[in-house]
Amino acid sequence: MIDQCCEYESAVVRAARAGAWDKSLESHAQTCPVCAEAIRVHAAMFSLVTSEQIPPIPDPKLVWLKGQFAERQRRSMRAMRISGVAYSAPAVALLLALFWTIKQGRPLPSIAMKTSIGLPVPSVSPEVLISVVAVTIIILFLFAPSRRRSTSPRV
Amino acid sequence: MMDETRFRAFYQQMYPRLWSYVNRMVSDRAQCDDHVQESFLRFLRAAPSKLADAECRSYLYRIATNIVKDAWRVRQTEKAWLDEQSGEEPRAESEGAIGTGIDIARALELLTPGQRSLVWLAYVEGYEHEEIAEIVGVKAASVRVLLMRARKRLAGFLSEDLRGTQHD
Repeated sequence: MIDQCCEYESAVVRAARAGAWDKSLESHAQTCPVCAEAIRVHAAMFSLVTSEQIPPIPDPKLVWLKGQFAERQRRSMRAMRISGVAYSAPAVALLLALFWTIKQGRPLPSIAMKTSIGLPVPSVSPEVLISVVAVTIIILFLFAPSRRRSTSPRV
Repeated sequence: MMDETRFRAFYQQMYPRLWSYVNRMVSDRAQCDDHVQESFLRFLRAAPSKLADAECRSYLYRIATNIVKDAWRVRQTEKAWLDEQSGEEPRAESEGAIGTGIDIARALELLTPGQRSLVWLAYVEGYEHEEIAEIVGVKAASVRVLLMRARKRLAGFLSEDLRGTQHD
């Protein structure tokens, strides 16, 4: 057993595989113990490969169809993710608007109602508003398209 | 994704080679068939369509190597747990069982799956150290050393075999 590497080892193995020897490489292989060992291992491996009984190649159709199916599912999932984001965007915008209003210290519904129809409307407390928005968001989330399960890809 | 005609040609060309490679790594025919099919499937899902043929081959080998490594890890964990449950000492690799009459197939089985993979890729497939590094996911400099150790070990088993045969 030889406890070192040789820089020509790859080239020697390549030459042994192809059966095409360069003269200098051949003379090196005859004197270098590392390369001689590499040739021996290569020859043993080669004899194993040539004697191996490989089963008949299965039809690639099934693998191909499975690959197609996986690709369709991936596209479908991506489309659903995009629509899910689009669906939840208004809810997020509403939530941000609400926080902004509360931060300003003005109840938004009472101001909006006064300006649109000109009548005073009792103001709504922030707690009530938060509850209403939270319930709306939960409902939107529960019925978002990305949460619906389908048995077959739709794309 | 690769087109069907190209995939069929690639499959026909690579199936026997990949099967041999995986068979040497797992030594179980049913498992080997599963791993090969899974490798092609993952290849179809993940490989960019513009890869050249040589790159496709490396990519496929990389996928297969990862599948085999993962399965090996699962088996080792399972084995350790079973040993723990049964109160037995963990069983070592059957290196002590070798002796005379060892052939190359058995000698290969005595290497670790990682070593088998390196030896196969270097001496059967003829990959360069850099390509092997990419396939097995280690540095090229490490491949050099790891391959040397694997080759040394395999050569050692083969020498024992030779001595055993001469004694017989």
